[in-house]
This record gives sequence, structure tokens and C-alpha cells, in this order.
Amino acid sequence: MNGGNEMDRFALSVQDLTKTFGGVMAVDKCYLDLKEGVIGGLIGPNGAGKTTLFEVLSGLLAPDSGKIFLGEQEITHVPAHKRVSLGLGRTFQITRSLRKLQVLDNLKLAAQSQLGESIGNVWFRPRAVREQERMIEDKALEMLKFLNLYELRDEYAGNLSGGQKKLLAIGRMLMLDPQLILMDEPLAGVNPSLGEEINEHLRGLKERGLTILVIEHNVKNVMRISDVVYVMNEGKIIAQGPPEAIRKDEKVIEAYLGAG
Amino acid sequence: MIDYVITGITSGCIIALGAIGLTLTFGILRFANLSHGDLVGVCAYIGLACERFFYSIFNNIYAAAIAAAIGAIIGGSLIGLGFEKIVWRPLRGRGGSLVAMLIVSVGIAIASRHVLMAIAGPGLYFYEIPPKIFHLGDVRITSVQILVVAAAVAAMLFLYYILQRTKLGKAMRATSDEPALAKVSGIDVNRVINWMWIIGMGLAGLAGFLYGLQSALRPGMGFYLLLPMFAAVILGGIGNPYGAMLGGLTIGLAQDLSLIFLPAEYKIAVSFVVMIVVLIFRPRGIMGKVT
Amino acid sequence: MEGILPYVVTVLIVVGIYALFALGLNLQWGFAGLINFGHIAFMAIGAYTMVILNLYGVHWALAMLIGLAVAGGAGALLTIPAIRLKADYLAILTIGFSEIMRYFFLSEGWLTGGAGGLIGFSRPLESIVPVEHYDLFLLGLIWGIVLIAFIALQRLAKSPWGRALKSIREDEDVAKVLGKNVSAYKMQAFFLGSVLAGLAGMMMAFYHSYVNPYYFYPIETFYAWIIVILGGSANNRGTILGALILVGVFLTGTRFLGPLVPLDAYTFAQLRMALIGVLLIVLMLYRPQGMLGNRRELTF
Repeated sequence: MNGGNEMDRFALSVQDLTKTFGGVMAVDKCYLDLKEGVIGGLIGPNGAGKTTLFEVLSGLLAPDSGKIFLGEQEITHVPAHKRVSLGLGRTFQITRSLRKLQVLDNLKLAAQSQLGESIGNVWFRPRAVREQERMIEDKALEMLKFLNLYELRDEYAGNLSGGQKKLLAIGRMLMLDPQLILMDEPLAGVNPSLGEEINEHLRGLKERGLTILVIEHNVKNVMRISDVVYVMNEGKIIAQGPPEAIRKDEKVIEAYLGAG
Repeated sequence: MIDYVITGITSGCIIALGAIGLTLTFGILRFANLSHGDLVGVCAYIGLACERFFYSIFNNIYAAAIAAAIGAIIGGSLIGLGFEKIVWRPLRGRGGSLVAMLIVSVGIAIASRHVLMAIAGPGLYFYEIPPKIFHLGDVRITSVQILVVAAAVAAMLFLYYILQRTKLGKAMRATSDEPALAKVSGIDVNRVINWMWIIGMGLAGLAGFLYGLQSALRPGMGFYLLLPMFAAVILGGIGNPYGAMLGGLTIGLAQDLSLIFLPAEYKIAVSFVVMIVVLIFRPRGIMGKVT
Repeated sequence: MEGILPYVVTVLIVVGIYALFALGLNLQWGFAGLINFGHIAFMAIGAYTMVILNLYGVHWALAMLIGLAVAGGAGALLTIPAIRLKADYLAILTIGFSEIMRYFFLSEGWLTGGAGGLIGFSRPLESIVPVEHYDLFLLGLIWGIVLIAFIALQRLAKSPWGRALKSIREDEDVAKVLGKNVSAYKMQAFFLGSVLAGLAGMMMAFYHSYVNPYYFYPIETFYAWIIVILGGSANNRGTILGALILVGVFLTGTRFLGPLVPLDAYTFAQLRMALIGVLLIVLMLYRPQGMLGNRRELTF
């Protein structure tokens, strides 16, 4: 089940996970294994529990029971911010850019192991802090150029368009140098050309060895981009496999029709 | 110890009456109204002023006391409605956030307390009603204590009737539980809010009157109740008036029973500790939200 | 001319004390977004700890250091239950805490001198500075401290630490998924803010050569709130300016207007405090960003 076999190392392993949220069992004894270096698509009807699963995986909600493994390491009770240093990154369904910070600051914020985040360093090692800041800024500016957001670097994030905010969120997450990325509907509300651009970014990330789990509402999108598809309904994974197999799977069709 | 139980129940009733208004505001407007304590105090003084005025006219101490109660209740409702019109509705209109409302409520608390002190002065005031004392065995009960409990019970029954048996009450409960849904289903939210202030602050007025009757009127008396009232609200479950009643009685009892082994100055600490314990271990309180 | 100097020195000393006090609150509220309605408690803890140690024979410098640690520590401890709580609960918790502390200082007379307070403690460099110039010395000391605090806080504000705090203030969940230990940041901000409050308390004790519970009523916390809001939350320059305006106007107004107004001292004092309440309401309704605040970065 977890990390024994060299051939099938799992980037993410969810075991028997349960979470009651808002009076509903949003995640119900859920099992999910995601191999390293693949793009997984998570689909399912509305209210299936996909976003709740992400909240639990990223550590913003605590599970009622069950286990979560990031690679070999159990992270079930690891606080959210520590999961980041273990390689986990995520974006939100409704983009949450920090509107009152400037675009460049949004990115610089995400850099890990910043000396300047310790009060002692700020006051007593200003030069070291400044040097590291310079390096972080260089990296952030590179990211902005890569995302075509360079001209907006001093703009308050709140003034960006929806599509630009989406790119900013992705860039910010990438600044974390993650190994496993959870993306909640990255293409939602985005025009087709930007959508294709984002898909390209995802493919590029996979090539760099990252593992990606994407929640997608648009089934066509998911079939295009995913190596493996997981179908979630009423808190459980009811089917998983390559896109073509899922498309024809009866259980899946029933789930979507039933939830209608 | 029985004496403490009796005083505990008495003060618990007063706390409960105040806590009801507080929890209604929490549930419907979703913020902690920090001015509630001091406004209870203001109503207490309004009650006293009515009593003195009616006594000077009619020379009957009981009629004057009734006038005081009515004055405090009506005064409370008018104050609640008044602040809604001049402060709360405009603030909501400007998109006032939770923090803005907290700060404004503090402003109201400070302003009303110090205007009250400017008018009434720093001294103590008393109702000059000679209490009748009853003895049940060893137990000593005064007529005032009986009156407090009776008035509180009557008020709570009245509230129960409104909340469960009237359309307004249903609307209030709906707005407290599911505000967005309430609005969409045609409930006039502004009207609900107005009535929330009228009822909540009316009860606060009654609490003030009874408080003044039972002990003495002094500056800062209202503020002194703030922490216990909040503890009662949190204990009972935020937004739940029945929880607030139960919480109020519990806090009143707990505070007075603590006098067995704690010096009087730390009575308030009991509320504080109860609050912390509830917030850490069972944040939704005993009864959660009313459905 | 000679008559007005001591008055100006007095006003500036009080301004400095409130500036320090409010800078601490600005860090907690303006930068970290924490609602502290009990800030005065930490001023009291700092002042009393220093004085009590001082009276037991500890050197004033060491007493100050320990007092700062205690004040800061108390602040950090308070964040433990408070850290997961919504603003409302933090507000009521901090009010409750400051009231309980006040009762404590009032009733534990064996330690704190009760209502009578404590006197007779040593002050910095008392043996060196001549008595008639001590106030001037204190003025320099206080404003020197304010300057250092200001520089240190500005450095923090512009640093990655400050940036992380800003993100926490706006959206905690995002900060968490970006790897920020939100609880640690809040605790640090509260600790530092309480240290500044404690320092202000010590300066006040030195200025009056006296400490007693009546210096630490809850309304003092709200003087600081007005100063912070008036100056523009998260704006340290504004905080200092706000202190100057509020204290300056209040003290000067009381001194010069007081005799003119046909009210007795008590009533006048009460109305002055009522005005604070009205000011809070008016500011929130009509100008929440204060004088120097940034409308865009408003978190009200």
C-alpha cells in the first residue's frame, strides 16, 4: 500500500480518511494513491468532497480519522505550514491572492527558509537578510517574466484581472519549490488560451519531476491533461484509472447522472 | 452555603436577562456587543430616575418601583433602537467589518458610561424599599430576591413565547441560523434587527433595574456584568437565547459558590476561567445554535 | 518663558509614554491584526514587576529587563488560548484579562501595595543626574527609547517578517499554505507589543516615582486604540503623531479650557473620557484610516 515497492513510489497516499464537515460526512473512508511524477485528475459531481479532501490534505482541516502520507512520511497530524517544507503546495478554487500585497511581494513571500522571517536576524544580521532578499527577488522576477506578469510586479494584487490572479497564484505556489502540488480547479473561469497556457505549465512541471493532483470540473480538460483519473462521489473514490477507462466506466456515469 | 446558592440564583437571573440580548446580537448581527454591559448600567439609572420621579409625585414606593421597571425596560428598548439608527445601520451600510463593530461598541460603552458618571456622579444610589425577609428553616430569602427570580422567569417565558409562537420569533431564529437564506426567503432583515434591539435591550433594561434593586447603583456596575454575561453566552452557545438563560444561571451560581474559597474580588475570575475552558474544549457551548 | 518649559517637558514626557504604549499596540493590531483590548494590563505588569523587584533590592536595570521579560511572556501566554479564536473572543478575553490583573494589583496589597501603590524605588542614573534636571533627563531617555523602538519596528515592518505578518493579517490560510507558522508569528507580535507596553509602564513609574492601580484602568487601552487608528493603523509614524495630537490636545485642552468651562473637575474629566468613546465611533464611521492611513491597505 505505501512506499515499499521501488517501481511504484507514491507521492501521495491517503488511507481510510474521514472528515465530517458542516454536518455532512464530506470525506468518507477515502483511499487514494498517487504515483510520483504523474498528473492525477480528481473529478466528481458537486458536493462530492473534493475540496474538503484538499483542505484536509493541505492541513487546513484536521481529519476525523485515517492517515495521509507524503512519500514515505506520515503527515496526518503535521501542521499545515510544516507540510510546505515537506514539499506540499496548493492553490485554491477561488483564487486567494493577497490583494493588499504587491505582485512581487506575493511571490517573495512564498520563498522558503527566509532568514528575514526571524526577528533576531532582521535586527542583528541585516546584511545577510538583505543578501538573501536580493536572491529571492531575482528568483521572483524570473518567475514573473516566465508568467508574463513582469510589468505588473509593483501592482497591488487586488488590481489584477482574474486570469492574472490565477497565474500569480500558480507562480506563488511554485516559489515554494514543491514536490507535490494540489490544484483546485486551475482552469475555472479562465479563457481557453490562458487555459492552454496553464495546461502547458502543468506538463512542464511534470517533466521536472513534480507530482500534480488537479481537481477539475470540466471533464474534457481532465481527460486531456491527466495520466490517471480519480472519481470521487459522496466522499469516496469510486473509480480510478487511465482517462479512457474512466470515460466508459458505468459507476462513473451513474454517479454523474445520479447527482444530476 | 445555601445562602450562596440563593444569591447565586438571583444574580444568575440578572446575568441571564442581560445575556439574552447579548446572544441575540451575536446570533443575528454576528459580533460581540461590548457596550451591552454599560448599557445595562445606564438602564439601571434610568429606572432609578423614574422611581424617584414617580415617588415624588405619588408617594407610593411600590408604584414607583413598577414605574422604575417599566422605565428601565422602555429606556433600554429606545436606547437599543436609537443606536441602531444612528450608529449600527450606517456602519453596516459602509461595510463595517467585525473589528469596526467591536471598536464602535467599545466607543458606545465608554461614552455611555462616562456620560452617565458625569450626570450621576461617583456615589452610590439605593432604592429605599425595605425588603421583607422570609425564613425557611435556616434559609434566608428576601422579597427582592423573590422578585428578581419571578421577574426573570416571567421575562424568559415571554421570550419563549415570542421566539417559538410568533412569526417575528421564527424570523429572528431564521436570521440567526441562516442569514443569507432568511433574506432570500423574504424576511425583512432590517425589521428583525430592529426588534432584536427592542427585545434584547428591553431585557437588558429589566436586568439593570433588578440589578440596581438587588444591590446598589454605582458607576461601572454595568461593565462589571460584561464578563459574566459573555461567559454565560459562550457557555450556553452563541446565538442561543435558551443557552444564555442556562449559562447565566450557571455563571451566577458558579461565581457565588466560588466565594466559599475565593476572595470576593476574584468572583469575576470565575467567569473568565469558565470562558477560557469552554472556548478551548467545547467552543460551541452547551447548547450550540437554536435550530 | 521659564514658566512654560516644565509644562512642555511634562506634556512631551506623557506623549512619549503613550507613543511607546501605542507603538506596541500598533504592532499587534496594525501589523498582526490581533485585537488586544487589554493592552493596559501589560503596561501594569511591566511597571509593577520592575518596581517590586526594585524595592526588593534588584538593580533598576536588571529589574527593567526582568519586567520586560515578564510582560512579554504574559502576552505570549495569553495568545495560547486566544490564537485560534475569532476577533470577538480575543477582544473579550483581553478585556477580562486586564480587569482581572487590575483586581489583582488592587487586592494583593502584600505584594503590590494595594490601592496605595508603591513608592520609594530607585530610578535610572538617579545618583548621577541632579534632581532639578531629572525630568529633562527622563524626557531624553523616553524619547531615545521611542526612537530606538521606532527604528526597530520600521525595520521589522519592511522585512520578510513584516511581510509574512501582513499576509497573515489578510488571509491566514494562504499564509499557512505558503509555509508560515501563523501561531508563532502572532505570539511574537504579541510578545513584542507587550514588551513595549511594559517599557512604557516602567517609564511612567519612573516619571511619577509612584505606581498604583488607578494608572491602569481599561480606558487607557482605548487611548492607545484611538492613537493607533488616528495615526493610521500599521503606520508607526502616524502612531507617534497620533500620540502627540491626542495627548497634547487632551492635556492642553484640559489645562487651558478646563478653568473656562462651567463644570466641576469631576464632571469635566468624565466628559473628557466620554469624548474618547465618541471619537472611537466617529473615527470608525467616517475615517477609519485615520490621518496617515492607507485606504487600500485597510483591514477594517
